[in-house]
Amino acid sequence: MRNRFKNLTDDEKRYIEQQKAAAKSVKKKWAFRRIMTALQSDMSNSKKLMVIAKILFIKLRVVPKYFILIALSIIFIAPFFYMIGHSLMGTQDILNPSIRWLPRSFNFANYIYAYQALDYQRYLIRTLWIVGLSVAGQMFFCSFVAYGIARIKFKLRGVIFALILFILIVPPQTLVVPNYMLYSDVLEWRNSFLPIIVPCFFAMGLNGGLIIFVFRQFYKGLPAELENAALIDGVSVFGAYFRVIIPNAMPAVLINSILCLVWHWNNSFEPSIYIRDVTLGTLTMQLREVQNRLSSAFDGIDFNAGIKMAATMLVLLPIVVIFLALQGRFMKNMASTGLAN
Amino acid sequence: MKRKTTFFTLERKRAMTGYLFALPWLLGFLLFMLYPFVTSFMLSIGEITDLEGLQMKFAGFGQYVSLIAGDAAVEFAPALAITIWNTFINVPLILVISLTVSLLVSRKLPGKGIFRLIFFLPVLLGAGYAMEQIGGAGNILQVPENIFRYIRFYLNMEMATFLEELLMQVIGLFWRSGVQIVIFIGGIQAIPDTYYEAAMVDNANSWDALWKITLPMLSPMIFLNLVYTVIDSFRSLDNPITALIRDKTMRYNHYELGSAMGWLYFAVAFLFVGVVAIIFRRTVYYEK
Repeated sequence: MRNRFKNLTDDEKRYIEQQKAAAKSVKKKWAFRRIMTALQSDMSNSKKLMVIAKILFIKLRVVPKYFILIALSIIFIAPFFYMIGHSLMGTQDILNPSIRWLPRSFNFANYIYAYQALDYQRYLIRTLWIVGLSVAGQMFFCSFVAYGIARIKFKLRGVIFALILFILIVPPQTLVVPNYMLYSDVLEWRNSFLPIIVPCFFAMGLNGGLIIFVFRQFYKGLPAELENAALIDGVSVFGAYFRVIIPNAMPAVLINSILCLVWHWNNSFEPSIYIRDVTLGTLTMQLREVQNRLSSAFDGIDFNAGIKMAATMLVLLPIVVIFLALQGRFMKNMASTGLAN
Repeated sequence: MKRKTTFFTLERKRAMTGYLFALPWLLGFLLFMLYPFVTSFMLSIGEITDLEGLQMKFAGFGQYVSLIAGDAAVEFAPALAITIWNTFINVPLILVISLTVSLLVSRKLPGKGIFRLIFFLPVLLGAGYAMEQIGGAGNILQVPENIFRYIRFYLNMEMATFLEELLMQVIGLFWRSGVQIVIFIGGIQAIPDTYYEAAMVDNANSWDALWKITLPMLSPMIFLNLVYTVIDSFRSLDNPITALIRDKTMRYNHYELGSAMGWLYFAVAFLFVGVVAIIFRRTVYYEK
């Protein structure tokens, strides 16, 4: 579907590009042109005014939208601003009660100190490995299981789906003791990441139930002809799944991988229980270590707030970068479901 | 004759592939979930004799009885009631908020990428230490503090506190709708453009398109978000009952009571989610 233009010659490609560019420029000048033609036409003045007002109204409809969006953005972005501001403050600025948001002098030393305190490079690589493996396992197996319960009729699928939701409801705190017993005594995975990574390869990892649920809903929304066509062509069910369903479920894959990534990245509850040795931990665990080490609140004023915020920013930076990289794909509309309607 | 001998009919074959697809999950369930579940259930009806190796003996359903009608109910019942009430109030509000926001940033809006990143920030910060550092959801409100000052200036004390609380609640709800916004945006993205083009050719305006195309096509995602929001509100770390369970198990090491509470709570939560799912399942539209 995406390789529609693969077999074209260069000339044809260039022609298509030109057409696209032309269409774009026409779209851009659309309002302006309509107004100009309205002015030059031989309508009465009142009618001209009406036409122009209508065009402007359509163009300006987005203004209240932006107004709402910007107002909402302030709520969402305020803590981030607070963090960035504080991460750049020196001790003097933090002690100064008249400074709330912006530091008087920009102080990048916080970041250098936080980088060293976190042992950033080493833990970043560790964490990327762990999170990467977990997300990969989670994506592959959750989507796989979800396809089974979404599109294939079998007796126990209702029961399985109910159990998946059931596991999702259980707060992790309540199962923490038996889980710890299982991983450290029965399976003997002490101080290792296996308790976090291995369940992901059985669609059981962190919030796995939700990921299965999202995939299931997407699969249910796809038209049935999609895989029926492949099945009639003699492809096995697995072949149809990998070659037809997955390419059409890309929005689901993207959402899930972003959510899964963030959850795993920020998760420190399970790692901190299974890994007692902090030097073997993830970046997020290391962040907590650093913050405990630096906690020196005195009279409600935290002298090390700047360094703490800088450390937090450094830990969040990789997922922000990954989100921005994925976001372009995330935003693209699916052109069609691959069916000629 | 031939029909009798074939065991693998087409339907059975299909069902077999279904089980094959579910196999990883079933294995995972047996390996990683069965033991904790069984142990925790045994804890709830047992008594620990030796913490090392978690030795225990059967002690009957006393914990459950005490939770429903005995001493422990004094703590348990109000916490449960508050949790259910909060779920009732918050879930529809979160759904409406997240749907509105995601519709606003879904189609044909210059700069929508930036807004999407901004609305994703709560998910980014929500669970981690970053949030704790800023001081939790309550302290996000560095901005409205100035507004509060004006409110206090112009209104009497009761009105001002009421308005403040309302504002805090609303902002808290916005902060909790990050995941839902992401899911809704993905769902809207998956609706083929051709449907809208066809509708525009038939002279439909965007209001019609919203009700006749976007919402029906999005209904699986609305259902998903409904169930997820209910679940999330039941297991969120700041609802009174999870806090109670956490206190009992991790601070006071009272594992038996904690497990019993957990199980009773799952039962209620599961019932709640089940009822919601059954009621709203019919309203979902799947393309045939």
